[in-house]
Amino acid sequence: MVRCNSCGGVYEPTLPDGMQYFHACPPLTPAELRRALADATVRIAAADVERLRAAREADLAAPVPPGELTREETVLRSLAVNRPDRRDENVTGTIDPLTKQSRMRALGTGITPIREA
Amino acid sequence: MPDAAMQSPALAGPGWYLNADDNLRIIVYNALAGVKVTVSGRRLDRVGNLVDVFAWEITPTSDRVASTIIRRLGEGWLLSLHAYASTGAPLIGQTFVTIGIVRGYSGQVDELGTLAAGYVTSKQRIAWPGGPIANSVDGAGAIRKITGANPAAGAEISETVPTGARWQLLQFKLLLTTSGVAGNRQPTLTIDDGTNFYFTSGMHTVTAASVARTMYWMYGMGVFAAATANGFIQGLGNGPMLPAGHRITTSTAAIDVGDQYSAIHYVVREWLEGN
Repeated sequence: MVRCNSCGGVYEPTLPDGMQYFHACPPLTPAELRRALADATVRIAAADVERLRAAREADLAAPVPPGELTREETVLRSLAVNRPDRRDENVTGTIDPLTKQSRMRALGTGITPIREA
Repeated sequence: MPDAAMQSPALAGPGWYLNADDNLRIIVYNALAGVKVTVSGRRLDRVGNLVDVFAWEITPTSDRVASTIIRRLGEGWLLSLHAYASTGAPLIGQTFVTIGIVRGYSGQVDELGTLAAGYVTSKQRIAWPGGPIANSVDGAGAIRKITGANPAAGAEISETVPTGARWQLLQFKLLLTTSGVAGNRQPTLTIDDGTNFYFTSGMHTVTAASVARTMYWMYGMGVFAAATANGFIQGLGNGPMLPAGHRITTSTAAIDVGDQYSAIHYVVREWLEGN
């Protein structure tokens, strides 16, 4: 088993059927996206910035009942924003003529082998 | 065309005349580690007096990217060939072979014809002449059970269709263990193209705090299937089709940073797209 240093996901690189598992980090969660936008580590389209602003204003003006998703949360959930250090083990579809290996799409911050408990 | 070859009795049957610049190109798309493919056959030399045999073994990559070799046959007549998995135990849907004639050996080559194409296993072969030129997305595909990545606590599941694959999602199972923070979680299984969602199937029943709940999404079931003692069951319709790069994810209402998804298992029917 290995842990992805970019997203914290844990997986087996080779599955029991002998096939490779190609991990790709999930998009930022709403909480991560909210932080990343505040820290300006990711950018989203201007139209989505406007949707978020309008949702926050609407939440302040008319808060949703407890237990329901806020309008801001709903907008954040509708956005699939990749983390900046995303790892994507899928290959590019071509073989490097020098190494004779397929190129990984994105290394991210690497992986760490872990022992199962 | 050589006169001697034209007069050969062997040419009463099918044959493909090759000049000195015509070569055999073998392309293998493979998804299983440890597979080797052997291509073997017979040829008649230029003057038609020698039936020669040839055999090549190819070790393809296991990432579904094309592994290509070109081999010289020399001037003469190609009489027959076949290909099969000589090492490993691929299923139909995991190792696809295309064999054709090209002019040239390296760099840019001209494609002249396709002789055979199809999935191979250790027992099932593709052959020329007489065999079909199959499409890699035809047929039953390979049924695979995949163990997904456990995301970090508080994060959603995300599984991506690998490069070179086409999936039909048949079943999806997960375990959601909620933290002690109050709130009703409600996962929705979603599929997106990397950016935009186009399929959702929300679980019909919420999961409260401090609970471990197994949930299933099943092929052939409509939306809102059942809740059983073993977990919640939801429908996947007729099994959505996903090309490479599309993602199966969860989107969980009221997810807490301490909630944990695990035991992620799903079944897909896989075909090789060929890149």
